[in-house]
Amino acid sequence: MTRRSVLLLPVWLLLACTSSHDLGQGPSPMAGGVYREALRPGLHYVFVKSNVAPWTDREAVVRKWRDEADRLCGDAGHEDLRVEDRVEEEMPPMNAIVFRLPYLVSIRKGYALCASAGLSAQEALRIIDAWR
Amino acid sequence: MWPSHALLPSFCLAMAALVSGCVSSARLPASLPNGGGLGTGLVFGSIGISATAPTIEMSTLQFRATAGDPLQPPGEFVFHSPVGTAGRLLSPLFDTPVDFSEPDAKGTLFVARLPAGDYALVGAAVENAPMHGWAAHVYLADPGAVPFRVDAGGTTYLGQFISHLRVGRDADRIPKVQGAFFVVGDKLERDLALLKQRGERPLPPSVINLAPRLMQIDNEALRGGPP
Repeated sequence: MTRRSVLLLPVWLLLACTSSHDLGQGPSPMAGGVYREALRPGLHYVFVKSNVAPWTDREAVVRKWRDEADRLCGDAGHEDLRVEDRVEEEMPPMNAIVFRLPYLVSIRKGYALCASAGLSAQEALRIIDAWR
Repeated sequence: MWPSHALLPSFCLAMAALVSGCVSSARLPASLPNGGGLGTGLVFGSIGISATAPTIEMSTLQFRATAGDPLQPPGEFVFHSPVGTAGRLLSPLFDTPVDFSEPDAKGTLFVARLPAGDYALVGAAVENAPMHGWAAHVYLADPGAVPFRVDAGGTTYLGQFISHLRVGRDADRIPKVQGAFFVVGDKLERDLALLKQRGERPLPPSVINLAPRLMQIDNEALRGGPP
């Protein structure tokens, strides 16, 4: 187990980032990916999860979430609603000699209200509440 | 119904196949009723996967003799649909040819010659293989004990069983597979034609068709209508 942990460390270093895997198609090998769903034209739920790593990777997740929202809404811009960030342990930690290596994932989820949607923030929040 | 991680069930089945030859679409239970000269009958049907669930690799219905030893391994009706490279590597171990391929489903014919007696469908197992077949989750479902009878010299049709995934959402509203089930249909004419292609000539010509009765079942493993 110990030797495997040491061998896996470079792999973690390489993979500790976000993934463009579509989580709507099922889980990804390293847990990370993106899920997008349009509640209606111009109002999108965006969920981004980092790959597992022994550390948090909030900046990458925030950047990925913003890129997704920008792509979905285009040049007109968007307002971000109900955005939440959190860190989770994807699975029980690995014990390596005296170290305890956690399998952490960083998550950002929220709603992108495109300027082109023709909805106010209050109208969008009502739609979101009905959807949840 | 619960998911269990793993390639382990596939691995065990593959190892069993290596030891005993290919896994065919119908495997007899370890414990069969003592025929006592009563003769045998034919049971057939079809099993396959829904076109909406291309990541299903293995679909299995388990059956046993009502009077058989419940501690012995059950018989199985099996369809293996390779998913990704991993599935293709395992596929030579299975002899479950695609006998029908339709817009909404594909699958294979199963045929078993059994000693006359009472039997029951007792289990359902569906293996979902996401990540291009490199992962596997097996979902088990309990159909209850669905009885069927085999008469000496007779032919019993169980129906068409198409596996589906039951998809819900997790706390973050991400679609997530939560289980699996079979939709039962009546494809007697098609499956009779497939049976004859296999060289079986049902005698007497009248076949006992249990599919309409099984289509009335609505539990976690079997459903009569579309999902």
